[in-house]
Amino acid sequence: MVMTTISISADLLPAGSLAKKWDLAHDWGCDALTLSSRDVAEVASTISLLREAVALGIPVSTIMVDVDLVVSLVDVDGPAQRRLVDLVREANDAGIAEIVVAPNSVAGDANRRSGSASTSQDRLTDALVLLVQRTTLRDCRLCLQAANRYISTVNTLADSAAMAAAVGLPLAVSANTFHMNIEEADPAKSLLECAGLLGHFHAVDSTGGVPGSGQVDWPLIGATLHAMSFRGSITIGGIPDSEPQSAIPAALNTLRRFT
Amino acid sequence: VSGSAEAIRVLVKNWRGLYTVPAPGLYPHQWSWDSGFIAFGLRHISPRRAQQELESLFSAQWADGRLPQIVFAPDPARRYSPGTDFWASESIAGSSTVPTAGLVQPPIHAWSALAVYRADPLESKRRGFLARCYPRLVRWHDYLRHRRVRGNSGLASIVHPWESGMDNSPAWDAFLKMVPSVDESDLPRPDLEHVSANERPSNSEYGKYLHLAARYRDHGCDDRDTHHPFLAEDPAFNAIWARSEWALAEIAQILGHDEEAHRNAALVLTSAIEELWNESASCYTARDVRLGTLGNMRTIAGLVPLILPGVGHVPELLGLLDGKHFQFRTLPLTPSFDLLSGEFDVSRYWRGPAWFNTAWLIAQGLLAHGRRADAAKIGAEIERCALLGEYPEYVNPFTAEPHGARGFSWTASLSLDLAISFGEEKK
Repeated sequence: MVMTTISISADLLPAGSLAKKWDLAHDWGCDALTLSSRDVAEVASTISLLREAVALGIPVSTIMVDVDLVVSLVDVDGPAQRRLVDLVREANDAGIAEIVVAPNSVAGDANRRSGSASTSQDRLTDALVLLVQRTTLRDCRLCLQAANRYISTVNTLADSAAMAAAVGLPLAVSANTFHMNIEEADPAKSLLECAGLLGHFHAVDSTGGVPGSGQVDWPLIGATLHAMSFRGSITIGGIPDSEPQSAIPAALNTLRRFT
Repeated sequence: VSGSAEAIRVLVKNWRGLYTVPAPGLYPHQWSWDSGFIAFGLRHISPRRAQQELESLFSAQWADGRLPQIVFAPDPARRYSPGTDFWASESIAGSSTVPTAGLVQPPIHAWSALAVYRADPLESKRRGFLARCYPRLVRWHDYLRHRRVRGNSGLASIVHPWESGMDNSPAWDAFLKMVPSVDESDLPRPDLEHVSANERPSNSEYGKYLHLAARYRDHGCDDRDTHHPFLAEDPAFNAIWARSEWALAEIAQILGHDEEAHRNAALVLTSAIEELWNESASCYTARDVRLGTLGNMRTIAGLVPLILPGVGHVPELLGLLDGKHFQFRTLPLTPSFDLLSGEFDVSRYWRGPAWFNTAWLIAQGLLAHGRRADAAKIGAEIERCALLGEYPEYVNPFTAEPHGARGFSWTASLSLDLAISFGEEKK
């Protein structure tokens, strides 16, 4: 049986330096770290963290990027666009397995209410096309993550898959169980239906806590990933509802048990 | 591609929010004993769904305690005959709040509920699963005891071949001889839109089935029709009931209730099944309660009592299984009917093909009587034949050529159950 790579968002680890964060994650049994950017300023710091990780030999499986930066790609000469392309290229050169684009923005909801969702979708599609064209990805998968209706216009795995088809370039899908719990009538069936496209799995429980703290059916999710022969990595996300020292190892145990 | 991965896919695809359909198209609603078998496999991929599978069925329990054969989905697009219009269960006093059939199927549910509990006792306790199931299971068995014991043996009688789950088994041919038929010229057969007619019961059989079902319905499904033309004590139905009584005793013990009554009931039933022993057939056979006669057909139902600890005639049953009538040693899966009978048919439903649920039952029987390696052989063959035929409803017992529906839920479930059970043993 293939062991799935389980990484953890570095943001969740209660330590100061990247090296100390990795020590904790490694001690708790994680295979790698996930680095995240939520705004323009963070892209720069993510690049620097990534360089630090490479220098120290810390395994990083995944980079996650906020979608607002991607939308800004339509401003082709903008600084955000240049930084994002830099980040993706750097991640690609560093051998990162997945770069996840997560279109999480209040603009999603605002666009829906104002009826401009289709415009937003078009901009996102254009942005993704540009991003893929400007970054020659080798083994690294670029993955689009769906998010719930209140923060995104790409809500279901089927939406992500449709956008991947619209982009027409190599683009995979990342599933986030917190959002799936809101948007997918049958999460297991939705996963199966995008089996060939699933590149990354973001494990967050129904409450927004770490896996095992809510009501996501982890045995079912694990069995379905097995049935799909999923070979991507899983990132532990969410906010621990108790001390990280106990919550994160427990979350890891939940995922190891069922995936 | 591993068998377990494909089996999981089938079970995920056939899930309908609260339960699993046996197969899309041909069987578009919830079936009672299917859900019981499905839960055995579903427990390995989602104990929560396995619990819901059974809870969904239990929620359709009638006031008299019966668990109905079919719980209909309120979706006119899911065509099935006889359906909601035929049964009109809403007009029957004490029926469920949702439309159901009035008949029942073999009572595998307590056995299944115990297995589901064991898959994840913490999840079961968190959801109060066993505590909520137990009173419903007790009422279900009470229904059988008080309403379906129609002879003097203490065994439950079925009032329709469908209640055996082995609809057109040759065991019922003699029982049906004197049963009238409805007009066969205009029988609704939506099943034939999905499967070839030569793999399904004939129109002549269907006409009699509908007559019996209509008569039972027209008597309010009250089990008081003293002249009902079909009353059979089926060895498989009663063995499964007894096995479930043993399970109910364990459930009672887990919950801190008195388990003694269930143990006694299991012992009494096990003993009563001996009345169905047919010396000349060297097999258990169904009894016609109206005539007091035993049938003479060797069917797979006659081997099912192997699942019971303490059942008599184990050496004879194992001999019959291994011998020329069922050829356990040489065939991939055990046929549903005597290979040497002139009535044997390799492709027609319960008149010869090998079924995965009966193979699983035989495996449980072999496990109960110390033939572990043979049970493991069944597990391996079930997985191989299921994968080969895209999880068919049943197969040719010689070649494993698939027949009936594909993507059949209990085939996937029971394949998964044995693969995991024996896989864990290897570890």
